[in-house]
This record gives sequence, structure tokens and C-alpha cells, in this order.
Amino acid sequence: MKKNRLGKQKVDKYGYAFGWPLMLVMVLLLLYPIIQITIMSFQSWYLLRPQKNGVFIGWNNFNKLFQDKYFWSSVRKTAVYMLVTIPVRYILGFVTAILLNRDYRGRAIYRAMVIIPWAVPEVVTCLIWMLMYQKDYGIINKILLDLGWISSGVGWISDTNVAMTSAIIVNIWKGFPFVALMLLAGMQSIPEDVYEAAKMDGASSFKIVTNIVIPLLRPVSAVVFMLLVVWTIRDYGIVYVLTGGGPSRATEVLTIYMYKKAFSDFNYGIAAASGFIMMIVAFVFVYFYMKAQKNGGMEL
Amino acid sequence: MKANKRRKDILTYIFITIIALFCIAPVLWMISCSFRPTSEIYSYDITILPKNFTLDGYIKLFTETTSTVDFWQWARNSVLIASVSCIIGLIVACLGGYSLSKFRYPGRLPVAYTIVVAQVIPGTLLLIPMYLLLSKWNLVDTYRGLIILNVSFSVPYCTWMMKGYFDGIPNDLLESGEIDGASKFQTYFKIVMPLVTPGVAVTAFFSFINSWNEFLFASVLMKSYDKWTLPVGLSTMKGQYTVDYTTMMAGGAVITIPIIILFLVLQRHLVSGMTSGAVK
Repeated sequence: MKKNRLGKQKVDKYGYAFGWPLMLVMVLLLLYPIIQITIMSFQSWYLLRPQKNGVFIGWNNFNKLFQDKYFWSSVRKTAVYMLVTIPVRYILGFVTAILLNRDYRGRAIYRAMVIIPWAVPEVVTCLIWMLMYQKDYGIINKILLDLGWISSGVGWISDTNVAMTSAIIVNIWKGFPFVALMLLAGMQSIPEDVYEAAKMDGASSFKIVTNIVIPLLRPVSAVVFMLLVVWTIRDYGIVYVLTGGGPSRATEVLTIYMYKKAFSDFNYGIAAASGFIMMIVAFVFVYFYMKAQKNGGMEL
Repeated sequence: MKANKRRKDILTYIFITIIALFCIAPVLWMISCSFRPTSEIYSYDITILPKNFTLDGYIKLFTETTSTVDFWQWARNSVLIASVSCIIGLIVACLGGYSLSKFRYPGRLPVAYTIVVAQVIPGTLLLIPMYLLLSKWNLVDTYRGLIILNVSFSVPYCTWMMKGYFDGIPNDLLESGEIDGASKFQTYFKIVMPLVTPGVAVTAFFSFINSWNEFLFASVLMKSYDKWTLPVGLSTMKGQYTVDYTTMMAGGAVITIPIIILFLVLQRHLVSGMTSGAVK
């Protein structure tokens, strides 16, 4: 049996007997779209000029895409969005996990409260925050005004300078509990005697975190980090419902750019080209990540 | 030593309370607003609890059907689409996860890699070719079309989760079943599946929630309002001139609270399900 695991294996036909529905789904619903998007990005697919649909036009879509300043602005916005959201989600999740890993009364209740944002559907999340972000009668402006921190209401989602920050805050709110729970599970899998031994040696709490928890948590952190990157690249729902990419494209990240190119401008060719680029970036990331982490700590 | 511990406990309480409040305040605010008249929401003088408590939002949501709003129809659509997507996805994932976990054959690794890579692909990207394909098959604006899309999105991670549970079952157990003369399928249904029932439950839950909350596919695919799911229907309420926040928040509360309760009941299993493979 050991030999089987190591790869020099006999062919186990039962694998296909159990696996065929999965393979069918993968080919039809994942491989097909991936191949199709690759082909489409080299074809003309402009629904307002349907007679040319499917004609190969070489790199034309990519040329047009690279000349579009809105494409580049959406790339920049995606970069900013990721560079802020991922670290903040991670750090806030880590701190929360450390706090929940301590022993005190009411810990279970706190943990239950932290789970809640994860459970709220995206659309509902957006509707709640839209109400709280309202310029004139929203609760957030009201509190900040009462505290005297601002002198007039902030247009959280109507002001082009602030909208991105507002969208990022909502994303962090929705996303960090998952990080906290994953890291907490990782921390709780560290054996109790490791902590005890460190305490006996007189290590401070801070030392325990930096010298024991962080190194032992690396495999879990690696997986969480990859999930965060992946989810943030493909993130769409919250920004779209909250701001629709606006005001004046201030929050138009790449997924929204692609969506609008396809479903508002009906230019599927250009949308496919931008999707193709996104896909390549994601694949390259996953490839290097899996190389570095030996399959990302996952046993294939 | 004791004083030190006390001081640390107090600091812990302060920080965790701030974080917990940040987490629950928006949800509490939704519930609070769902019980106030709209005029109170649009007023400058905001109070934490409603001044004029009212059930109007809920009554309107449950009883009023207009040409574009039909809560019960949306709820039926959501339940139907999420249940069917969940069952199909689960069957594929249970069989496929077992195949990847316990058998070695050519083609296994490519499938496993595709599953990992699939989780990176944005839904928007899948939607472009799939939308054209579904319109060719006349499946735009149908339940079947949306179910196909939901299944394609949930199968990869459901399979991955189920594979994690199957990995936890020792191979000796399968062999002992075979020695007793059971076929591979008998072993699977009689011995393996009963052992992973908790895993199946968690995976089913995630798969159901995924389709229940899904917004992108449903909003693009479903053109007529009587086919909308709850998230799509709810999101259209914001588009009108004066937003009826009372009804909107009532709707939000109705679709969120059952899920929050489920999450809280299942919390331990959910985390272990998500971390299977990552945390041992």
C-alpha cells in the first residue's frame, strides 16, 4: 500500500468509477470556460456588431485594452485594494485570534460575536453599510460629528476620495473573522505543554507569541494568506453592490472593469482579454506559491 | 504574578470588546432600523433604539406584492435553487473526493491541480463564456442555468473539503472491508460514508450557503423579477428613488438571522471543515 502512495502505482480503475462525475463537471464547467476565454480574447466579440463575432483578430483586443486608461486605472485600484485589504485583514484576524486564544470568562460569547460578519450575506452587508454610510442621516457621520472628529458629514460612498476606503472597510469587516477563526484553530492545535514549558522558562507573553506561536503557525498562515490573496483578486460582490465601481470609477477594480466591458458595453472580446490577463496573473501566483510551500501545505 | 495576570485580562477584555462591537454593531443596527418607520431613519436625530417601534417593514415585506417586489416568490426561488445546487454539488463532491483521496490513476493529479486552480478564477471570468454558452442552450433566465453555474462554482471547494475528510479514514479499514468480500461500492456506501457524515453535513452547509448568498450569477442570468433570488431582489430595492430602508432592513434581517444562527450552532464543525488539511 505504501508503494501506491509514492506514485509507482498500478492503475486503479475504480478511481474513474467514482471520479467521472467530478471530471465531467471540471471539463464542462471549468476547463471549457478557461479555454474559451483564451480563444475569445483573440477574437472579435462585440455584440453590437454580431456579424464579426468569432473572427480572429490577433492581438487587437490586447492592444485596445492596453491603450484604455480605464484599464490601467482599474489595475492600479486593484493593487491598492489588495495591498491594503490583505495585510489589514490578516493582522486584525491575528490579533483577534490571539485574544480569543487566552483563557477568560465569556470567551465563547466573544468568539460567537466575531463569527457574525462571516455569516452575513454579501448583499445584506452592503445594504447595511450603505445605510450607515449615508451622508446626511447615517449613523457613522452622526457619531463622528458628535465626537467632534469631523465638522461636516463625509460622503463615504459619494466622495471619490473616500469611496475606496469605505469599500475596503466593509471588506475587512466581512473578511477578517474567517482569518481569525482559521488562525485560532491553528493556535489551538499547538500542544499545551509547549506554552507551559515556555512559561516555566519565564518567557513573556510577547516572547511566546513571537517565538512560539508565529513560527508554529506558519503552515496555517500560508494557507490563509493564499486564500486571502485569491479571494481578494476575484472579489466582486461587495464593491459592486456598494458603489457599482463609482463614483466616477473611483472604486472600479479589475473584476468590475471586466464585468462592465462584457455586460454593459457588450464587448466580450475586450472583457475576455482582461480576464485572460487576470487569469494568468492568478495562475503565476498559485504556481510560485505552491512551489514555495510544497503544494501550499495541501496534500494533493 | 497575579496582578500581572489581572492587568493582562483587563487589557484582553478591552480589546476583544472593541473588536466584538465592531463585528456585531452593523447587524444590530440593521435589526434596530428594521423596526422604525422610514421617517425616523431619514431623520437627523438618530437614537440607538427605535423611538416609534413598528412592524411595518416586516408586514410590508411579507404581505405586499407589487409589480417588481415579491418576497415569497424570491424566497421560493432561493430555496429551490440553493437546495438543488447543493444536492448535485454534494453528490459530485462525495464521489470525486473519495476518488482523489483513495485511488491512484493517470489523470488524478491534473484533476487535483485543476481543483486548486479553479478556486483562483474569478466568477466574473467564468461568467463570460458560460453566459454565451447558456444563451446558446436557451438557459438564460432559467433555474437550470443558474443551478449549472452554482454547481460549477461550488464543486471545486466541496470536493476539496470532502477529500480532507476521506483522507482521515485509514486505508486498512477499506482493505478489511474488501477482505470480508464487500465490493468497492459496498465498502464506500456501508463503511466509508457513515464515518464521514459530519463532514458531509458541513460541506452541504457550505454549499447551500454559497448558493443562498450568491449574487453575481443570479443578477446577470435572471432577467425577469419573478425568477430572482432573495439577494438579487433585495439589492434592487436600493435602486429606487427614495429607498424604503425599513423594508430593506427587514428583508436583510429575515435572510440573515437564520444563517447567523446556523453558523453559531455549527461553528466548531465549520472551522474544522475549512481547516481540514491545513490544520492537523
